[in-house]
Formats: sequence, C-alpha cells, structure tokens
Amino acid sequence: MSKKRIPVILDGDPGHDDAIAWVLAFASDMLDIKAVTSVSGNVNIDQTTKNTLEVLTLLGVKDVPIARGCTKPLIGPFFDAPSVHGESGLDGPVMPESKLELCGLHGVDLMIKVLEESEEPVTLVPTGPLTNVALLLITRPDLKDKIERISLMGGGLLHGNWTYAAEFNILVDPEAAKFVFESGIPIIMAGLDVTEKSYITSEDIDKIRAVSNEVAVIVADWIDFFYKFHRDIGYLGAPVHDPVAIVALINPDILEMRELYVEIETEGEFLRGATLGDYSSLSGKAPNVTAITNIDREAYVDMIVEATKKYSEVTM
Amino acid sequence: MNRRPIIIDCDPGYDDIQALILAKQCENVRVVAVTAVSGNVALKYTEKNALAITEYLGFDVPVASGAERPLFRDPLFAEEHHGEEGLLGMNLPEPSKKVVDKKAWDFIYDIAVELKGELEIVAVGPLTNIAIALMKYPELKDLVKTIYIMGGAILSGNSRFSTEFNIHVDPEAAKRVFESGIPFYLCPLDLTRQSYITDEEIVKVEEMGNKETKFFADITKLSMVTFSGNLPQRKDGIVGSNMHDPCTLLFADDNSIFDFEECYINVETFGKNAGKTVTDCYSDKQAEVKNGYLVKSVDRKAFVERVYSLLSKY
Repeated sequence: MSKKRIPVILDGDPGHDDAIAWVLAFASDMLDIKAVTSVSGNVNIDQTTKNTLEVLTLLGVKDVPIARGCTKPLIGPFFDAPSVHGESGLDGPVMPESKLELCGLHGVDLMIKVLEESEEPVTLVPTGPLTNVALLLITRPDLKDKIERISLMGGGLLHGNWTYAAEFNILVDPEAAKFVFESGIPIIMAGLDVTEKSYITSEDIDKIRAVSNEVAVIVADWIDFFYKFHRDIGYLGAPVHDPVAIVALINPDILEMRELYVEIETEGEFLRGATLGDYSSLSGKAPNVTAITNIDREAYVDMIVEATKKYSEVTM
Repeated sequence: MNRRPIIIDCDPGYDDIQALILAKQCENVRVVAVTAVSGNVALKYTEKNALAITEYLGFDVPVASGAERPLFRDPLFAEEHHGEEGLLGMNLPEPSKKVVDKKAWDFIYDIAVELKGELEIVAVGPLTNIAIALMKYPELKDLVKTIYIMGGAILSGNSRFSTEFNIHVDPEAAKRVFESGIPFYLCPLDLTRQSYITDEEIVKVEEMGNKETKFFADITKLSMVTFSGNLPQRKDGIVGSNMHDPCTLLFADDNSIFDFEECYINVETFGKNAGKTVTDCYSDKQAEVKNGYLVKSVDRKAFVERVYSLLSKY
C-alpha cells in the first residue's frame, strides 16, 4: 500500500539552502519531481542555472527535465546576495562537473508543459524570488486549476532580513510575490518566522558529515560556509531556510502553522517587499496563506541527516 | 522625594482617562502639564475631557489645547472604541477651569526651557503636538530628556491590520519625532495588548469605594471587549480592557517590570501602509545608529498589581 506521491516542480536560485531543500526532496519517496527550474536571485541566472545542474548531478538525478528561468525580476532591478552565498552562489566545497543538460525550454515554458501534461494538480515549491511562478500565472491564468498549492520559502511576518521589514526572496521581486499571493492558489509560507528557528549548529553539521558519503560531506561543507556569515551576526547555527518548504509537504507534523491573510507591500520607504499578516482580522479578506510559525528543530536536523543517508547507494 | 517632571500629551479617550487617573498617584513622575490633541475624538472633546477629569480628581495641573488635525492628512477618529465624545457615554461635571492661554507646542517649549533639560513627555495620542513643537523650536530636541510613546504595531495593528491608530493618524508627525534625536521609548500594541485588566480583576477597583476609583472602574468596564485568540498576545474568550495608555505611563513611572531593547525605529509614510512602524529589532539588517528603545513585554500580573496600588492611594 504505497502512498501516492505528490507531483511537484522545484523552482529555486541555488544557493546553499535551495540545494539542501533539493537534497531532501530527491531523497523523499513522497514526492514525484516533475521538473526543476532555476531563477535569478541569490546570484545571477547563469550561476543559479549552473549550480542547479551541478547539484542535480551530485544527487544522481536522471530523467527530470531542467530549465533556465527568468533572468531578472518582473519590474525591479536585479540584485543578489553574494555576501551570504559567495560569488558562485554555492561557495564552499568543490562541486562535481555537471553531467546533465537543460531541456531547451524556458523555465516558465517547462512549468507550462508539466502542468498541461499532468492529469492531477501539481504542487510548486519555489525557494527563490517568485518571478517564474508569477510569469507562469500572468501568461497562463487558465492553468491555475492545475496547481494544487504553492509551498514557498519567503517573507517574514514579524521581521525581514535584507531590510528591516523585507525578506530577500520577496524583496527581490515584490511585484511577482504580490501577483502570486493574490492568485487565489493556496500558499504555504515558510517565512523567517520559522526558518530562523530552523538553524543547524556545528554539532549538527558533524552529525551530517559523519554520514560520510559524497552528498553528506558536501551538505556539511555548504552549511559550514553558510554558517560563517550568520555566526558573525549572532546566530546559534546556520538558518537553513529553504528545506522548510519541502518539510511542509513531506513531514508537516513537525511544524506549527496558522492560516491568515498576508498582504505583499510593493511600495514605500521601508516596506517594499514586506509580508504583512492580518492577525487582527481587519482586512476583511479570507486567509490566503498557511503560515508556518514553528518547527521541531531536532526533528528537522534528523530529517537532513536521514536524507543524506539515502545517497549512500547512488552510483555516479 | 524628587519626582521627575512629565507632560502628558493625550487625546482622551477612555484609556487616556485611565492614565490620567493613575498619573496623579505616580511615585516617580509628577505631571507638570497636560496637553490635548485631536485623536480618538475631536479636539473639542479631548481638551474638555482633559479639563474635566483633572478637575474631578482635584488634580491641580494646567491643560493646554493643541492640534485640531494631523499635519498633512485628514483626521481619523476612533469613536467606536471611545464613544462619540471620548468617555464611552459617561459624564463628568462641566469643568470650571479653562485651557491655558498658550497652544500646546508653545506651552511644551516654555516648560522645557524652564526645566533646563529635565522635562520628559508621555505622548499617548497622535504625535502632532510634539512634531509641531519640534518644527517651531528645533532646539527643543536638546531640552526634552525622553519621550515615552504609546504607538505603533510590530506584528499586528488595530486601525488597519498593519497599523496602530496613533501613528496611523499622523505618520509624518511620528517620523518627525522618531528622527528628532530625542531618546524615546516606543510602547507598541504588541506590548500594550499584554497590559489588560479583566472583568474579574476590575472588581477589586470597584470595591475601593471612592469617586475617583469608581470612575476608573466604570469607564474600564465600559471599554471591555472579548478577546480573540488570533492575536499572539491573547487567549480566546477573555473579557478585558486594553490599557494602552496606562501601560506607557506606568513604564515611564517605573520600568522594572518591562523588557525593552535599544534599536532603530521609524515609520512608513508612503503607500497604503503609511503609519506602519518598522524596526531593526528582529531583523538581520541592523541600522548603524539606534534612535530609540522598543518596549517588548511586561509582567501583566505585576502591572495589574501596580494599577491597584496606585488607585488605592485615592
């Protein structure tokens, strides 16, 4: 009695934590990964696409179409986050050379193809700026019904990280985020409220490294690198944000969530890119978001350790 | 006993009334003036209520009238929470005393000069009066020691879902005050929603049996609402009164039961979320210069005990 797998499209800007999200995703037997698309974000699109191919090569992925997505935000200027992820977007360990190729379609067209061909609605998992997803919804509103839900990493109800009020993924492309949040498609939001609690300590990194296969060692190296930036600003460990969007699909029992209406602000001196939550129910609008508010951190670490073990059998 | 001199700038309003009743009995601060501003209700009511309550209490303190409207925006009122005239339908005797012959901003400045840098301000309404004072007398920034502000919302608002009423009414005034260089403590909704008194707890005030505490108990009971557990500070079904302004006053009087943190605080003045306060308190992005303090939490039980203790002095 095998459970039916959830069809998903992974969309990201790897990025250390995108890569770890994908380690979790490909290790899970609960997900049926239909496609992987890259987007401009933590670094430029050339680099996130290169990283996508290398990460999926590392994970031994075969037969999953991969495409390069949007080059810049819908409206706003390009900006990236090299201070967090390094020049390559995935600084730290040396990556295996890519053995994979892009499918030839634009990322948005690959999403369209997957949705058109799928008999059941597909779940999108964007862990970067929402540019590809917004462009998909702008160009093919008829496909909305083919999207089951969107489990995303982005935003922060209490606070931001790139500005006081805005989190990086939403800040990069607030217009895209606004379009997606107002689309009516159910959204699970892994915002900073939970992802800053999803930190991995030095002891946790040792546990991952002790799994000692190639994937585990590289994941440990990634988190090591990722922690350097965060240790300097006072974190107890590296906040590994993006995998929480995968956890929401494959192990929601370790999360606390609540439904509420969330508005994306696109204007202002301080609030561009802010995700504002209607806790006081004054918006008159129905909840559009299931916001993740807390996580069993120990269980999260265990999930990452267990996921890396799955790659011991992979033959490159 | 040398109590620190404060001016209370307010817009009574039920919780301003609560604060003024408590203020007369504060142990560490002494009220040297009350200034009224348009806010919860129109200025004609806020100044009259300030005069009436101080006279009712035998509280010998001058009252000045201030701004009739926000700096640049149309006025907003909160009659649904305070009643049409600000007293939730209650009546006070017609005051015989009159407002002083100076506008609030001039009165504030004169007192500040006289007190040679010792003046502190407890501002529990829109910040229009204080902003005008700073605009008219820029040197005031070196004459006011501290400002305690009831205003703003970090996680969730009340006038809009993202904004708190006092700051929402006059965001530009708030910005002028936040950027003035005067050290300030912000008591946002996230804090003041922790400082409520319940229907069960108010009984003890009712039993005190004098006219001042009776007025406090009566207006507090009229202001009570049933809380919704949707708000992080709340439990579903509790019936209580939000004591926003008393919270700020009691912080000014004695901050020992509060937690607060130095941080950067400002306010959005553009877009539909104008009036939303922002802070670097919780963000990785840190401002290089901190301009104020965010008051984050209070020991509610201890707070209610202090309310009892001050009221028992009547």
